[in-house]
Amino acid sequence: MCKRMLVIITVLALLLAACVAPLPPAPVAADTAATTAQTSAAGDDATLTFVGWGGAYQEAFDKAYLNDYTADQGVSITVDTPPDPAKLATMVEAGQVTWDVIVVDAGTIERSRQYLEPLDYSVIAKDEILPGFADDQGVAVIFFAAVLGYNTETFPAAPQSWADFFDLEKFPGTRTVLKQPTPLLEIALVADGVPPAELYPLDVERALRKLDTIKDSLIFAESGAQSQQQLADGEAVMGISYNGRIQTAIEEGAPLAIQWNQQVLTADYLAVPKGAPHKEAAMKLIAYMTAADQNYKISDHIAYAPTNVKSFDKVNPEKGANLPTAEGRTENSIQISYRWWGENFPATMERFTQWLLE
Amino acid sequence: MTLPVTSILRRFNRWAWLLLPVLLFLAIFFLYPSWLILQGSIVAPVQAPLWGLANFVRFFQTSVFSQVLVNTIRTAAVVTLLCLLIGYPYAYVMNRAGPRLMQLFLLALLLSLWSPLLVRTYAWTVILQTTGLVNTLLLELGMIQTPLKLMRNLTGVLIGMTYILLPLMVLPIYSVMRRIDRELVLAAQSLGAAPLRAFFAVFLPLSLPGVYTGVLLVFVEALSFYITPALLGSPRQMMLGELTIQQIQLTRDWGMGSTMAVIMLMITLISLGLVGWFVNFNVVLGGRGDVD
Repeated sequence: MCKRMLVIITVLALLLAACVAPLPPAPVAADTAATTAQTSAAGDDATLTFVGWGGAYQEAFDKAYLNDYTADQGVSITVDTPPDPAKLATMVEAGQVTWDVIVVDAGTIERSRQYLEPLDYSVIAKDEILPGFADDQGVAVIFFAAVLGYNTETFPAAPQSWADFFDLEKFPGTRTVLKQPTPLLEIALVADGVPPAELYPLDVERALRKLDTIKDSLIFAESGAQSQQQLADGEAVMGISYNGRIQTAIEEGAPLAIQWNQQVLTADYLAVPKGAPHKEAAMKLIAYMTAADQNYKISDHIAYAPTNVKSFDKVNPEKGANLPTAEGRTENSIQISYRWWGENFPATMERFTQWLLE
Repeated sequence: MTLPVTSILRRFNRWAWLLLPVLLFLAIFFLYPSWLILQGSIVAPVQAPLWGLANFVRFFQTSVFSQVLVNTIRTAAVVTLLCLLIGYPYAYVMNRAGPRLMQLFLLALLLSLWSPLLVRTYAWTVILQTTGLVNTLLLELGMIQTPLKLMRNLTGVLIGMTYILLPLMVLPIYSVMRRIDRELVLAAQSLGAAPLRAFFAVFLPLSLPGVYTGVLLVFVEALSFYITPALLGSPRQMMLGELTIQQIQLTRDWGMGSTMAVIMLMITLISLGLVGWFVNFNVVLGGRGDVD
């Protein structure tokens, strides 16, 4: 009788333990492990926490900037991921900030201004950054782009623009898009004929009507990694994804190619949370990463472009061919207005979610 | 309705103080945060008075939110039903099988239970997608001409969720079935009942507490799923969990996010109450069913 009870209780306890474990709150592609990436040189007590996007992204950052910085300056850098804006807000509000430098997008900066320190532009080279990409509380460190990726076996004649993305007759097949309203809505409007300069304020209804024309052929990806997988697997023959992701898939042998026309040029920014424990050291690291002598190094490890204009010609020409900032590529690029999104995100997100459910 | 608490306390009143550390832990790390969430849901957004049910009103007035809520409850209900239809026979076979076969069945179940949720969900992606295992096999065999759409729709979600939640249905049912005296069924047959009649009149009613518990566990778990529907379904299968995450991480409306969490908690508590009306939880928790 006792033994039976024990077995049953054990089984149920394991059951309950397993119930609690499998429901992580974090989004799919993010991994929440904090790892110590570097070791400090002898004698120096400075340490920093750098928060990036993990995976291949973090590896590239380590190789391009962080490893060298540690070797040069003797500062030990702890890496954490993901740079969740909600976590940032909680940290700052609780007064328990453990992050020093975080990677954020412009939208997050717009919506989290009260949680970020103003940058120290006496050490960071603001004038050398491409105009428009040095904000009070964030400075762009790399460029990447949301582009049209397509399968070269299915489409020997390449799609030329976003209008082709919406052309089911010339280019039939499943398309994958990221399950976010931006840059999807902007792309839909451009495909519908709106000039990039006249996108804002966004005509959300028009964009959604345009999307309705291909909705049955659309599959959604939770993350860049998932859309990369879908294109590589052949689940989708065209897609909106990040150039770095598609490039990785190409290098791994997938029959894919990138259409750079009308790319959505985006930057990742470096910012410092309000009340960061090592504020000065954080500013120094940011200055290092955005300086002309170092900024270009990211392109050696992943298909991202530097943001420091003096750094452009230092880019390896072979790698340069895969960058969004290569010759002529930025001509028709689409620029997102984060100011507009800062004001209109909640309402637009609700409308977008409604459209998803239809 | 039995109150398991009083019966537990009556039996263990000398040892009740041992529960204190656990209760303290739960109070700090579960009750207090839950209270904060509850607070968050009734602290209204900026444009309304300082606190009230404004968030809840807005939730039910927004068609998107109510749509997703209905979808969540409906999906959870269907998954529970499927788990029951598959789980009850599984538990029955496990119960009647010899020891080695039973262990095999149990192992299969536990291995699934112990695998991470994400791995199990992705595995189904690999099996069900257009270029996946099932479609490739069927195409090669010539049984179909174009790939079947097994994923990114309700089918995929139901398959994935049923598979993941099956152990939660089987284990409580099995644990109750174990304790059903086989002699009772034989006695019914010796009194003239056909085997099938004996099953329905004797065995089935006795196994019902396990069934109710399994149904409760599966339903409550299924309500909070969001990764599996997101990966195996289309956005039309969006469930409340995903919306909650969206509110907290993207829209940063903690009030609404808390509201959604509270609503899910309410549904869970109501389900718990309903099942508690029918089931003496003592039986399932390993005690003797006669204690009241």
